[in-house]
Amino acid sequence: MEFQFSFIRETLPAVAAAIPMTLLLTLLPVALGAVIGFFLALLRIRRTPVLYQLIGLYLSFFRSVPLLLLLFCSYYGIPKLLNYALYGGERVLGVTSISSLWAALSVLTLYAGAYITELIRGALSSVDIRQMEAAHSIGMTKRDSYLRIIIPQAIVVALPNYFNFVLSTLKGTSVVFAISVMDMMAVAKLAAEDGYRFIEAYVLVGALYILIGFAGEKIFRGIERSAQRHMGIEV
Amino acid sequence: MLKVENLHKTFGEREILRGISLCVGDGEIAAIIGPSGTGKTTLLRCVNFLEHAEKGTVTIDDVSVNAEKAGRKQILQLCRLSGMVFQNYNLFRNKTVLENVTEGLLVVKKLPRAEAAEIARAELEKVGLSEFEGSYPSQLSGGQQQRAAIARAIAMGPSILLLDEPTSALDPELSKEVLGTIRKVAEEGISMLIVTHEIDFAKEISHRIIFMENGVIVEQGPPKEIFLNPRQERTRQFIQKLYPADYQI
Ligand SMILES: Nc1ncnc2c1ncn2[C@@H]1O[C@H](COP(=O)(O)OP(=O)(O)OP(=O)(O)O)[C@@H](O)[C@H]1O
Ligand SMILES: [Mg+2]
Repeated sequence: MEFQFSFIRETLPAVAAAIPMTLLLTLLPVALGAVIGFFLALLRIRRTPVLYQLIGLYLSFFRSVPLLLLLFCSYYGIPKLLNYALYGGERVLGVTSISSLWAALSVLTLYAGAYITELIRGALSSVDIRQMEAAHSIGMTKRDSYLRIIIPQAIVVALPNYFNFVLSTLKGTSVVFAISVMDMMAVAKLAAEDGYRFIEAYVLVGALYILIGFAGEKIFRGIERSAQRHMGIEV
Repeated sequence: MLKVENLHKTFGEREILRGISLCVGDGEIAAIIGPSGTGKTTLLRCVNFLEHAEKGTVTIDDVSVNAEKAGRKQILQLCRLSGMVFQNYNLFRNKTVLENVTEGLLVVKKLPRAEAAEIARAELEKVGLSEFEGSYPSQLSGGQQQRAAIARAIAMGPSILLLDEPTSALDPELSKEVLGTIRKVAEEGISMLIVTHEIDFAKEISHRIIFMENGVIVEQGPPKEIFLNPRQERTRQFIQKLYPADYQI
């Protein structure tokens, strides 16, 4: 079978229509993940006994279990778990009782939260803490010192890694077809199976990932640069 | 006026400060000298509670804080009456020189922005950094950073300035420039407590030399007395070691 450009042309509109879904699956989790990450990183730095271990457990769980497995767990596992917990094992709740999109978004958010927590914790501890002493010496509260001195610098440090993580999440979302969320990958795969045109479909969706990734990289670079300029770091 | 009474500080098993008492009057400049590891830095840090002493009282003007029952509010009050200049400058790296100086005025004193900037510019002029107000710390030399740090400290209008080896991270040329700035600030009559290894500078600028060793104050007095006519044998030995053999006292 030779390569059919016409297939690509015909399939493009459908796959392109799924771009918003892919963006939603990427951007919402990394945005919520950043909020989770900040809270947990600050909590973890305080080393409050029980809380510290609980957060540690969460971090290692979501960082070591493959994304695909996490998706299966939430999509198939949670209804089953609820059946056991609430109905003594009787099959009351089916797989469809939690929407696949909801399952994907929550798994991706928790997954992003775990990675971003570590990323922000690293960034926070890279900021020279002696600036806290200077802040103390002019009478600033701990809270003000964190908000105005330490955290802004940690953000600048964290940005490149954070944006890398956003791009890797963009690619990571392509496994959600496994629980039938209709992202770019899922739409392309269905079209491919319809017409037995796998190569064409994958070239198409691959090109779209590259384009989006490229645009993202451009935007992120710009943000990084302007953030660094605001800290007097020469770029 | 700063008054420290019977300060005790232990790190682990080791007692670093063993009952320090001293007083620095209004407009007085006192220099602490002494061997390395004696607790000079620790003493300064205990004065504004960067380190928490176990026992003792620190009083600046009308704020008196007992280490045994010091509350967070009280400690901040004390900090607002003292300014500190660190060995490594510790400027806020995400803020320009001007913002470094206005930060405390805005956040702690809650002054309006224009007034804070006006005060800050006056202080920057004093330390000779007017043309660098828009620079970030990473764009400045060590000497410039230290002068900015001095401006940040005095802009808050502290009752006493604490300086911990303000020039020891600088090469001689930059060190001279910072010492000049300190001299200028001193002329305005602000009280200072300086820890320094720059003995000649200490001799020249201070009204009183405090010789510290092993967590206690061994001897204190006017520079002339300490350097030319020390009462304690340990002081004499320390001073003698500072100078080459041909400069015996
Ligand atoms: N945070 C700390 N934890 C444990 N020990 C400390 C701490 N800070 C200081 N020390 C110890 O306390 C002693 C006094 O230290 P300090 O820094 O006050 O000495 P110093 O007189 O300033 O010396 P130098 O002239 O070298 O600066 C040293 O032996 C040091 O190792
Ligand atoms: Mg020291």
